[in-house]
Order: sequence, then structure tokens, then C-alpha cells
Amino acid sequence: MAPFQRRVMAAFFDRMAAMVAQDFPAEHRALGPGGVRALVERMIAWGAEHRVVTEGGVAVLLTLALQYGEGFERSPDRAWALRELAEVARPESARIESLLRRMAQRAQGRVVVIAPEE
Amino acid sequence: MPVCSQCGHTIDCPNHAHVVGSVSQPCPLKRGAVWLWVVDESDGNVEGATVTFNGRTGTTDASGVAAFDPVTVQDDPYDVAVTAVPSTREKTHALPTAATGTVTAVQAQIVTKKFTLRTLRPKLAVVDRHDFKKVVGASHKHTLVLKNEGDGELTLGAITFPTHFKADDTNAVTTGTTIAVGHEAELKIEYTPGAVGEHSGDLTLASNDAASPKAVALHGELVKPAFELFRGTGVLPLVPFATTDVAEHLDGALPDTDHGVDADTRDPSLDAAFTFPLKTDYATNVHADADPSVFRLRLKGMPDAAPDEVAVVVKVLKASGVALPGVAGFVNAGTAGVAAGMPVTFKKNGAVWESPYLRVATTVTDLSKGATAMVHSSYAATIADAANAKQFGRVLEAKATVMGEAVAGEYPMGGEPWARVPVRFCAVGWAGGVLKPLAKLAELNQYWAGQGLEFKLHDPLVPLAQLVAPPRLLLTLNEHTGAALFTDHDVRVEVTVSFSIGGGDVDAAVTADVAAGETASQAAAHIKNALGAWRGGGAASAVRLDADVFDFAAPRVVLTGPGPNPPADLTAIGARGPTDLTVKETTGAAVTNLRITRVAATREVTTTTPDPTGNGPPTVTVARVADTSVDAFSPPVAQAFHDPVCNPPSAAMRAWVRAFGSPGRDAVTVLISDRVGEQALVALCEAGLSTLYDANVDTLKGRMAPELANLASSTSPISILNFGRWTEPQAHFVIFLGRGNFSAGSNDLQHEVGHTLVDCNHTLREPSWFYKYELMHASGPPMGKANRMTRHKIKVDTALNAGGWKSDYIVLAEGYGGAARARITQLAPQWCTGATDFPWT
Repeated sequence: MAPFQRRVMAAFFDRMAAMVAQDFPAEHRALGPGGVRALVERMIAWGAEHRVVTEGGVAVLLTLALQYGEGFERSPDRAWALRELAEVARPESARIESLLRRMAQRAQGRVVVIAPEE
Repeated sequence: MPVCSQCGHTIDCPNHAHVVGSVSQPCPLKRGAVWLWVVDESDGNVEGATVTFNGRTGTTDASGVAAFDPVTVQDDPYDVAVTAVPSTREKTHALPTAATGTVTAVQAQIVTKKFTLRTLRPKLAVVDRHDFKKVVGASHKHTLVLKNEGDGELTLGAITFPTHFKADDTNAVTTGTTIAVGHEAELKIEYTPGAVGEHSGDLTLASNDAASPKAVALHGELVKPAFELFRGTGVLPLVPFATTDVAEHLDGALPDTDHGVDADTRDPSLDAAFTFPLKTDYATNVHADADPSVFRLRLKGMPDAAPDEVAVVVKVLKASGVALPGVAGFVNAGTAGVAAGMPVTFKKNGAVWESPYLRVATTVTDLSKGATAMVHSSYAATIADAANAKQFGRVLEAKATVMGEAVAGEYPMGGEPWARVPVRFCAVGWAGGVLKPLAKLAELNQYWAGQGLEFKLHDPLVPLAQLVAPPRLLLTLNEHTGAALFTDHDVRVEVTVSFSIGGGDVDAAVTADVAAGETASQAAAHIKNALGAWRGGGAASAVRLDADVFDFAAPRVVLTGPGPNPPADLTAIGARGPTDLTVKETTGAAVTNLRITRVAATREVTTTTPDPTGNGPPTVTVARVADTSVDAFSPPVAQAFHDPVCNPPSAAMRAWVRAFGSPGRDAVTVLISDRVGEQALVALCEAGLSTLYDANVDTLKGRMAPELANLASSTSPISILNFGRWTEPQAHFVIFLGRGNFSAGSNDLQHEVGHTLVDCNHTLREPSWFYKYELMHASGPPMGKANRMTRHKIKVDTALNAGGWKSDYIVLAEGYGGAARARITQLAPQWCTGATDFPWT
């Protein structure tokens, strides 16, 4: 099982890196391959803490992290999103769908940045 | 490549690049956008805030975001602002300090400008911290001003009061009251102290102030004004004389004068301002031996807000336990004697309010000396007035209203006298008319005011007694001659003793022959034998008579020589004293009214008459004639006595002492006569009270003649003092006054009482010091430092028979009053009120 799992994980990392490179090229450049991998690993871990274990679920968390920050700190919906994630009794799919509808739809694939203080 | 959120597979978009989930991404999402994000200080999203972007207005949604999407990406930044807080937050939040800014749009990015609304904060301030300091009364109110000094609306929570404080019933400020920014509200508080003392605690105000609850310290002090009697710098205790050694106060730290400073050091101007009472009319206040009348009152424990001047009414409530007014004649307008009392203004002096110097007088005479005297009673010519004119037992009342608070004090004035002297008034040779001994008694009390003495009637029901002669049982031989021999020739003494028995009167006439050269005691023995041999008939047959003989071998002594101090030498008069014989019933049936009714001496006279014819023998006639050379008489007394010092050497005066002393012999007896001198004596003899005057021959007997001759031209009153060596220990003092001496306006009675009480009497040489320092006497000197009443040493003359006669004097350490006190303590301790041990001698 171990060699199989390694191959699956490698493929997952490759797919996530390709997605970041395509959809978030500036962030991909800034992070570099290692940084992207590390980010993916943190999202896997974060997702596991909240019972988000599917590849699609982790991909959504990765996307939202790139758009709003790893803790969604740049999102007005951060508090709601964290509560949504924390409701681990609900199915992962429902929670991820909810995050997608409210946050991803709002950003429409763009990265949210906070204007610097003047 | 986007992947499917459900399966993870790559999702291809047939029209464009990709499809993510069910959400279409119709374009490569490369356009820029701007979010204006409004939050509060808790980082909570604020919905409904109004924002502007490049002149466009928007409103934040539930996420606190107003999205401007898409926006044209350009080099120049856009102006952005938050212009209004949501209406729901207007009372709690305000625009941020930096409510405007710029944002530069970036391709493919959502540039977010975050605005943080400022939270409004109320701040409760209590503007006035009131202190209920030194107040009087049960309830006190004050309004505390509560102010909102913050920038948010203030809402009050629970309001909690400490003990003794509460919210005024009319209070509009309660829990839930709101105070707008910059506005004030009034919290009415009430202080209900209940008990005298300080009370404090925290008023607690809860509110939406971040610093809630707020504690407001409350403090109050209830005071109770009270009067205090004082004199100058020292506060004298109100003490009865009976239990207090007055000298302690006078010699110690407390002053002996009226101004609180010792007479030797005080400001002389004070003396000028407050003249000492000189003689009469003043009653005593606290200290009988000190200044008798001047004192002050003050109010202590006064509230802070008391005015500088407080009106006080002083009034004398009682005199000798009798409530005033109500006593006839007790109307002295403008004084404390009237029912309304006398108004006095107390003035603030530091922490106390002080009265001017006050005096208590017994008459209105001295009111002209100042407006601050008060009268407790007057002695008008009625018995009721006089009875109430006593100087002790008065109660002085002071009343005031201080800021609505009634303040009252009562002070016993004068405490207890150290002695109450009973006085008995008796009429002798009275020709009628009405004297007012009770009124005179009142004068006496006023005259002696300040000395601790109070005079009272010995028998109030018999203010003026008409006396009859007492039975005579005494026969005195050689009283006046003082000779060693009774007679130088043969004499016969005839004595008639009368008595009643069985309803009839019996005369027992006896004779005793005394041979030439016999002594008085031998003569008395003959008389005694004759009485014993007498036998009556009938009912008197069983009666047996007897007599006791008292022989006084020592000569009578008077004080002579120069005076005044040391006292004069003692000089003997005659060679020996008298011999007294007292008749008594010894056996047989009981008799009444036993008395000597006749005493006579006769001698035999032989007369030879030549025969008229010259032829017969001469006729020799032997007859008995009265012999006035014999000194034998029966004074009106019942018991034998002998006084060693008596001048004038008047047996009559002694007789008066014996006759008119009170039945209990416990009084100062005042004999009043409407005749003077010899006429008074004659009246006594005519009344059967004296035998010194022989009406048959209109002759005064023995050596009394010149003395009575002096009396005949004199109206001087005389006081007789019993030195305590007579056999009747309670015959204290007798004062003889002519009616003129007893008239209104005369102070002879008072003066004579002074003589008797300080152990001086007119039978001795007049001691000049008595007159000099008799401060109350009309001729006395003004009171001054040199002769102050309580520090002057008094010398009292005495004559003692201690194995031989000698004179002596004692020095009384303190003052005139002390002298009288010492003597009364010695002679009549039963007159002293309470303690009998006065350390004055």
C-alpha cells in the first residue's frame, strides 16, 4: 500500500502545483515549487483537522488560502468560514460547497489583497 | 488546471478554459475590483455603513463589504471613504478618525480597503461630592450632579446607597436612566443619620461606562449642639458644697475670679469691665466661695452652617424647688425672670458660640450694671415671695433653636448650701404692729449670697413668736458682785416657791438666815436646807422640795485691753463666780408649774427712839427691811449656767438667751423689741422676764446699772454667742434687735448674723478685721485683689478655759465664708448639709 499511496500523493501534489501555476501564477512565482508544496501540505493538514480529506476539498482550501490567506484573514467572511469548517459533524462535501459558493464566487478567482495603510 | 470539488478530476470548460464546481467563471478573471470593508473595533463586520468609491456610493452588506467590481485598473488611485455609520449603530459607533483614503486597483486582484468604526464610550462623572458635615436634624438632602463626559450615551445601572444614605423619594434618576453625551442628570440623595456621630460609605453607580461601577464616597456627621456652663478659660464643675472641697478649685488651676484668670495676673481692664458684686443683691451661681454671680454659657457641637450669632433665651425655672414664674412679684421686665425669659446673643468664637458674661441676681437693683443680668425672684413684702427668695435650688434654663434644632440646657445654680441655718424670730416687749420676718429672711439670704449659707425659718408656721416668761427655778447668788462673801452682815433670804397641785396653788415660803462673813455657797446651802424642811398641808402634805447647788469658784472673765489682733487680754471680774441654786421637786404627789415667785433679802434694823418725856427708857424697835445690797435674784431660766465671757456682764442678757432660745435650742434666735436699751429691759421685767429691775424702788440692781444705762442711750443690736461651754449645748446664737434695727433697709440683722456665725459677738471687743473684711456690709470696702473674698485669712478670737482662762485665736485659711463654715461645723454640725468635715481650720 505504501508505494501506491506515494504515487497517489505525488500525483496530487503535481496537480495542485499545476493548478496554482495556472490560476495563481504570481503566487506560484512568489512561493516557488517548494513553497507551493509546503502550502499544499499545510492545507492537507488543516483539512484533516476539520475532516476535509478529499482531494477536491483540499483543493478548495488551497484555492481559498491563495485568495484570502491561509487563515482567510483577508476575507470578510473569515469568521463565518471558520465556523463552517469547524462544524465537522456535517459532511465535508456540504461544507466545501458552502465555502465555494460564498467565498470563491465572491472573489471570482481573484486574489484579495488589503490596501496598505496610508 | 481546476479540478472538480467532488471527484478531483480536471474539469474542462467547452467554451472557455475551466468550470469550477457549479459556479461558472465566464472569463479569465483578470479584471480588478475594490472592496470597501467596514468593521468595528471588535473586528466585527458592520452592515449598512455608507461608503463612496470614486464618487459612487455604496452600502456595506452583511459581511461589512461594499464591492466595486469591476473597476478599471489605472495608475491613479481612487478616492474612497466611509461616510456614515449604519443607523442602528449611530449611538454606539462613529466614523473612524481616518474615514477617507485611496485605493489603487490592480489587475486580477480585489484590493480591499478596511475601515474600522470607532466605538463610542460613555463616561460617568460625579461633578459634586457633597459632604454632610456637622449637620443637625433627622434628614438632609443634596443633589449630586451626574455628567456624561464620554462620547457615548450613558445608561445607569443599579444605584446602591450605604447605610444612613438613600435616594430621595422624588428622585428622577433611577436604574435605566440614560444621559446623553455632555448632558447631566441630578441624583437626589438623602442623609438620615439617626444617631450623633460620623457616617460614611460608598454610593455605587453601575452604568455602561467601561469603568463601571463607580464609587462615590459619602460622608455625614450629625452633631448635637449643647449648652455648657463655663467661666473664662476654665469650666467649673457643678458640684454641691456638701461633697466638694471648694478650696481645691480655688487654689488649683481654676480661677478664683470671674474672668478665668487668677486675680494676680489677669488683665486689669477686665475688672473695669465687669465689676465684682460688692455687697448685696447677688445670688450665687456655681461656687459660693468664688465670684458669686458671674458666669458664661456656651454652645458646643454646633453645625458648620450655624450663623455667627445665635439667639438664646435664658430663664430661671425654679427657686428652691418652686417653679417660676408664679411667684407673686416675680415680674421684672427685661430680665430672665419674666415668663418669656431673657434674650441673649451667643457669638461665634472659634468652634463654640459664647454668651456674654451673665449674672444671676435676686433683685433688680443691679440690673443697671449691664443688660445681661437676670433675676430669679424678688422679695416683695409677701410671705410667699420671701419663701421663694432663697438663693439655692435655682435652676437656670437656656434654650435656643439652632438651624431648626431645639437645644436646651438646665443648670442648678448654686448647688447645695453647705449649711442651712434655722432662724427664729421672737417678739419681746412687743407693742403691736406687723413685722415681716419672712421678708427679712429673704434679705438675709441675699446678704449672705455667695457664702454657701442659706437661712430658713425655724418654724415657718410661727414666723413671729410672742413669748411668755419661762418658769423660774434658778436662784443666783453673787452673780454681779463676784465677791468672796455673800454678806458682811446678817441677812435673811426669803424665797417663795409656788406650785399647783390638786387644782389649787400653793405657796411655799421659806427663809434662810445668812450670817455675816458667809459665802454664797454657804448661803445657798441654807436656802437648800430650808426648802428641804418645808412641809405643806392638805394635798401638798406629801410634797418634798429640794435644790441643787452649783458653785463656780472661778472668776468671771472678759476680754479687755487693746485690739484687734492678737485678741485682748483676759481680765477677771470679781474674785469668784456665782452660785446657782436650782429648785426641784423630789418626792410626793406630782406638782405642776413649779417656780420661784419671790426672792427677797432683808436685814434686821434696830431703831432706838428716845422717850419723849426724857424720863423713860428709849424705845427699841427691831424691824426687817429690804436689803438691796444682797446679790440674789431669780433669772427666768430653768437650768443652772455660767458663761465665762460676757460683756456687758448682763445676767439679763444671759437670761434672754436662756429664755428665748428655740425649744430645741437649734436656731439663731432673733429677739425683736419695739423698745430699746433700758426700756427694753424694763419691759422685760414688767413682763416678769427679768428681776434686774425693781419696780418698787425704780432701781436697777447691782452692777447692771451702768451697763443698762449705756443701753438706754443706744439702739445698737447685740448678738450673744454661746461658746459651747454652757450646760445647754444647743443654745447657739441670740440676736437682740430693737424694732428700728429690724426696719426695712437696715442690714443690722445680716451684720449680727455675721458676728454670730464667724464667732464674733458684741460681748467681746469688736474686732476691726470683722468690719474691715465684712464684704457684704454696707460699710465694707470694694472687692479687690487685696481683700478678695476667698483668699483672705481670717482670725477668729476664742476664749478657752483649759485649766485656767486664756485667749486664743485660730487662723482660718480661706476667706470669710470659710470662717463661718468652720464655726458652724464646730458648733452646729447638724446644720451642715452632708459632709461635716470641712478642712478650714
